[in-house]
Amino acid sequence: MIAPGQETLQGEVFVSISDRSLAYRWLHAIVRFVRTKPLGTFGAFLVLLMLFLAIFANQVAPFGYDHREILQRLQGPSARHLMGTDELGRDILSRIIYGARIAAFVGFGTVLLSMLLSSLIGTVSGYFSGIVDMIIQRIMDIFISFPPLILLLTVAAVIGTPTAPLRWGPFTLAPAYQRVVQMIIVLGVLFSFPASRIIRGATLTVRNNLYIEGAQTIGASSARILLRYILPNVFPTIIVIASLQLATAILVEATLSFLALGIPPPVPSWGSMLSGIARDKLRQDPWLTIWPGVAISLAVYGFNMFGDALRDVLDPRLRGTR
Amino acid sequence: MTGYIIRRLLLLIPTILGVTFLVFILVRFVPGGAASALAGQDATPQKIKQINHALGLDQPILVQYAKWLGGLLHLDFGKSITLTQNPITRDIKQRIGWTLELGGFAVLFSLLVGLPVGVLSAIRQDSLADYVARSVAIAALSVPSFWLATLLITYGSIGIPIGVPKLPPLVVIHYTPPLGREINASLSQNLRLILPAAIILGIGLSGSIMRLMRTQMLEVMRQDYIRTAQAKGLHARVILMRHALRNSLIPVITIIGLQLPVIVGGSVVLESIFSLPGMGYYFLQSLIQRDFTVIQAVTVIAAAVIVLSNLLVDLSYPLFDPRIRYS
Repeated sequence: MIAPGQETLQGEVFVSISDRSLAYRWLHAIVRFVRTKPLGTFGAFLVLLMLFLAIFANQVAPFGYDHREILQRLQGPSARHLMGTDELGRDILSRIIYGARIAAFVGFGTVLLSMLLSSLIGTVSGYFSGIVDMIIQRIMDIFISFPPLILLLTVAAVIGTPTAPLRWGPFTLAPAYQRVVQMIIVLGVLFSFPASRIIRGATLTVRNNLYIEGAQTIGASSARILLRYILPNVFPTIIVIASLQLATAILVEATLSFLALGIPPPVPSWGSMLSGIARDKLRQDPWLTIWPGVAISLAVYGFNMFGDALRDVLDPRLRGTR
Repeated sequence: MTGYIIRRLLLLIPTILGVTFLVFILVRFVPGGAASALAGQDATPQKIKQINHALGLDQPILVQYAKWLGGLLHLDFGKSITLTQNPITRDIKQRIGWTLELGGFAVLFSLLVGLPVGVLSAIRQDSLADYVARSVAIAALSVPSFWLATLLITYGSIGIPIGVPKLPPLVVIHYTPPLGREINASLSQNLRLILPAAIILGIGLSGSIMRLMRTQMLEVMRQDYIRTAQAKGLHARVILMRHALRNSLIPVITIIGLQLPVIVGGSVVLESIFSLPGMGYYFLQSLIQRDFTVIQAVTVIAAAVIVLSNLLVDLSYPLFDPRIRYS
């Protein structure tokens, strides 16, 4: 391998790793992450597993999520049904896999929206300060004061559970996916408030750098400064918050589905798979209560671990916030 | 200092006003509305109009809001429309004790478990114990409380063995869910009902406490005054108790304050699973029955509690660190 200072065959001289290609630097970063953060790597593995199941659910799942074999209902794990069957004879493994898809949709959608909104609000609030900042922060205060679950439940109850497919232009959304979109919008907006606080803090730090003043001096517009200077430097913070919020989003979706205010049947959600069970079927079929909970725990755990490790690597100053 | 308190209290007012207004508007968007929920399936437009008028719902929104706000100032939250038909204040009085007990014991449990583990994790940084403790802390945060509760209820009656597989268990946990709503039970009976729920809620909270305590201890232990204390020859435990701990506790107070939304939310889920007649269950029922006076009332109370507790937490800082003074 080339050592810093040596000449390559082409005549270039490497001084440091930043002279290397982008691909090499990424690879190097990943290898370093794996070596120094074994727990985080395990978390990343769980995350990738969940993504894989979500994307390739149709190929991986042995049965459809609503494929019923009533004669086989409430059976324990067998060769044919690796996780057993539920009360309608549906294969639990397949439902868990499709549940990963729903969780991934809600999780990533929520975080995407939340990061978009909070980046906008946080950077604007932090950069412009003054009256704009104060007004925005007061409004944020109001929303942050709300206990999130209560607000969510209220909104969910107010909106009601969709029952009929919705036609919107060339798209037709099944009731379950309408619900997914609703959840993404509501959760995304809700999650963006605390995130915008943190991004605002990071923006305030970045704002004090000299290059910002330099950019202002040569006449760069505010929009350009925000986009080209502030945002890239706040990016690590955004990534860390995103990964941690993903964990929360999945947990919240499961909780809402558990309370029957989430994804309507028959589309499986890990939370709803846990809900009817406790009351009625108790001891008859232990596996119904175990697998969905394990799935939720592993997914949330994976995202938390990964986000934690990312935070340690990218922005250790965030340590105190959770 | 008093100036700061007054300023914060003044800031409270627009915040709470905003919260109440938001809740009020939000709840009015219920499709169909409480009137049609009350009237039932075969409601004639006539009947709905009647109910609307009786409840004062046909008046302009701002008038309704003003009336409600006026009631709030007297701590009069109105009457429950579809749920119990009682004055809400009375309903709350019956139920809030349960939720407070649940939350209180949960916080207690989380502190009892989280603080020592966090300290241990910091003292033995990067050892096996540290890694295990950190993984356990994140697991505690990740495992959904309603799942643990469901497992406890499902298997509790046959007994949950804790111990090494294939050997006789050390402890077997038995749990039978309570029958009926025992609102007037004595304190000891209350405890038996509340503790399982409180412990499960506490497990979730303890994860955050563990991690925060660890982070804080690590930071504090790097400080110069700790080194001075060691140089003075103080016993390690003395250094820990007298210096390190006191300074590490500050953000833990913050975290407890920040965990209140979690407790409020967690109580909704756990109370319904364990059949505890508290505010959380009250709220859930009101959602199902579209009783929006109750929904409003509980939301405003919860928000007010959170805002006030954040203020109290902020005000408690000077007690722990005399260097922090608010001008």
